[in-house]
Amino acid sequence: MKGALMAELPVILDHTKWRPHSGSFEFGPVSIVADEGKFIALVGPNGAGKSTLLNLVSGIITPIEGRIGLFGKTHKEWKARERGRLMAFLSQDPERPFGFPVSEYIGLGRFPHVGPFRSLGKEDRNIIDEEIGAWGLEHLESRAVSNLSGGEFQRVRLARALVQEPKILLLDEPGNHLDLSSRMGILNRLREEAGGGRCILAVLHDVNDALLYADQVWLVADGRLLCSGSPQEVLQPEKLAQVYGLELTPFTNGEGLMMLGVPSFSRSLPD
Amino acid sequence: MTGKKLWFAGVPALTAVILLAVSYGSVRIPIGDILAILAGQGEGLPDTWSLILWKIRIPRTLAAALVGGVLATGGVSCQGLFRNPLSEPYLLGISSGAALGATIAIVAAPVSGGAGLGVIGSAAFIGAMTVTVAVFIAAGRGAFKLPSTLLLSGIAIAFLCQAVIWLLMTLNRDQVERITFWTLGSLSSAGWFKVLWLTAITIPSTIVLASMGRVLDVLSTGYDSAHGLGVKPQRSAALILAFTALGTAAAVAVAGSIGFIGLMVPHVARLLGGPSHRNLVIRSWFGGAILLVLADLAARTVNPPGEIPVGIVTALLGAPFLLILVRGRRGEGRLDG
Repeated sequence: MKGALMAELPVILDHTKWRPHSGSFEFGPVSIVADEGKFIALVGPNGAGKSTLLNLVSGIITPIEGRIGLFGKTHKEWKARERGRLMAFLSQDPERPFGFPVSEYIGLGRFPHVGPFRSLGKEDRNIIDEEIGAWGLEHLESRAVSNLSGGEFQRVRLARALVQEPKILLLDEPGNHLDLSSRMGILNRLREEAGGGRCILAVLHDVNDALLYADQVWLVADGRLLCSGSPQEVLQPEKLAQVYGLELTPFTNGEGLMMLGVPSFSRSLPD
Repeated sequence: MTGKKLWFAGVPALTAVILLAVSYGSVRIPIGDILAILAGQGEGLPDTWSLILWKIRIPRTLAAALVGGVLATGGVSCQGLFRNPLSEPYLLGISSGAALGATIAIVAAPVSGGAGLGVIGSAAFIGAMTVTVAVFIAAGRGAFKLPSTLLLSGIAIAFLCQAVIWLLMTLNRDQVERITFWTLGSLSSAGWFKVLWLTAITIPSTIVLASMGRVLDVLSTGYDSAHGLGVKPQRSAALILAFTALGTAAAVAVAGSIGFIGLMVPHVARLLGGPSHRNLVIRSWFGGAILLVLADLAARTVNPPGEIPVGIVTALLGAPFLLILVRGRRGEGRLDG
C-alpha cells in the first residue's frame, strides 16, 4: 500500500497497529481510508478502540506498526503548525484554562494560522465572530470558560475547532453534555461542514445519530475495525447484537429512514 | 492592559518604587539628592551617602527587583502549564533542592563568604538544578501529559530533601539558626556581582518565557488540545520548564527561597489584565519586581537596626491573599477553575 499513502486523501490508515505500554489492549491492524467531504461516524462499545483510532489519526499516539497518511504525508513529515491548519481535534476530556474568556479561548483556534507572535488580524476576528454567532454564544463572549456549563463549553470548543478551518475534523463524542436540540444542532452543522468538503471523523454513541447524519460508519469492536460502509449497511441489528449484546428493533421514522429502538428492560440476548 | 500600556505603567511604577526603596534605610537620603548623586553632581552631600547608595542599596534593590520578577514569571509558566492555579515554580523541587544544597554548604563550611555567589549560593544553585532534574526523571515520560505526576514527584522529592535537611540540622545544632535564616530568604548579601549574575540568567529566561506567551495560552488548554492546535506539547513544555527552573534557581541561589511571590503575583496580574500569557508574563515580572522591592524595604526598615527575613514579609502578605483567593473560588464551586 506504499502507493496508496501517496494518494492525496485526507486520512489513510495502512496496517496501523498500536499497543499501550502496559495492559492487554491491542489496536489493529487497521487499514482504511477517509475521503473528503464525508461525515464518518465511529461507532462501537466502550473500550473498543474508537478514541484510540482518533488519537492515532491526530498523531497524539504513534503506531507501533504500519503507517498513517494525511494528504499523502506522514505525521513526521508535517510541521506541527501545518498539521494544526490541516486538522482540528476535540478529545473527550477537555481541560479549561482558568480565567480565559470565551472569545479569547475560541481565538486560540487561530493559533496555527497566526503563530506565536503575530496578533489576530481583522480576518481572524471576522472568522471568530462568525463562529460565535453561529453557535449563539454572543451573550457568553466575555464569560470565563471555567464558569460555563458543560453544554456551553462543548459549543465553545466546537467553535474553537471550526475557527481553525481544518480540512480534517476529529471529534470524540461531540454530543457530550448537550441537550437534544443542541446535539441536533451540532450534527446538522457537521453535515453542513462535510458538504463543504471537510473530512469529519466523529465518535458517536447513539446509533440513531449515525443512521440519520453520517455518510459512513466505521464499526469498531475489540480493537479492530469490524466493518465500514453506509450507515444502513453497517448498522444492522444482527451486527450490533454481536457487538453490544443487545437486541435492537429496526423501525422507520416519519421520513421513512431506518432507526433502531432499544429494548425496554435489561433484556440481554440469549447466548 | 496590553502591550504599550503595560510598559507605560510598569516602567515608571518600578522606577518609583526603586527610588523609594533606595531612599529609605538606616540613613534617609532624599530622592532629589539620590538623583544628584546618580548624575554625578553630589558635591556637598555626605560622602557616606554615595557609598551607601552604590555599595549597598542600589545593588540590593536591583537584586530584589530581579529576583521578584523572575519568581513571578516562573509562577505564570507553572500555573499555565500545570493548569493549576496553586502551582508555583518551587513545586518543581527548586526550593527544596536549593535549601538542601545551602544546608550542606553551611554544615560543611561553617564560614560563609567566598567570591561570586559565595559557597552557599553556589551550592544552592547546584542543589536546585540537580533536584529539579531528579524530579523530571522521577516523573518519567508522561510528565507533561499528566502534570499531576510531575507535581507529585516534586512533592515527594521535596519531603526527601527536607528530611535530609532536618537530619543535618539535628547533627549540627550550632548551625540551625543559619540554615533557618537562609531558608527564610534575604537580600542582605546582594552586591553587584549578584546583580550581574541575576541579570545574565533571569532576563534572558524571562524574555524566552514572554516570547512563548501564546504557546503557553495554547498549552493551558490541555495536552491533547494543544497538540490539536499545532504545537508540540512535550517539546514546548520542556523548553518552558527548563527556562523557568533556570531562572528560579538563579534567584533562589541569591536570595533563598522567598515564598508566595510565584504563587500570588500571577493571580493579581491576571485580575489586572486578563489571562492571556502574551502580556501576563511581562506584567507579572513587573508585579513581582515591585512587590519584592517593597517587601525588602519593609524587611530592613520595620525593626531597625535589625532586619527581618524578607520571606516573612512575603508570607505575611501572601497567606491572607491565598485565603481570599480560595474563598473566591469556592464561590464558583471549583478550585481549579
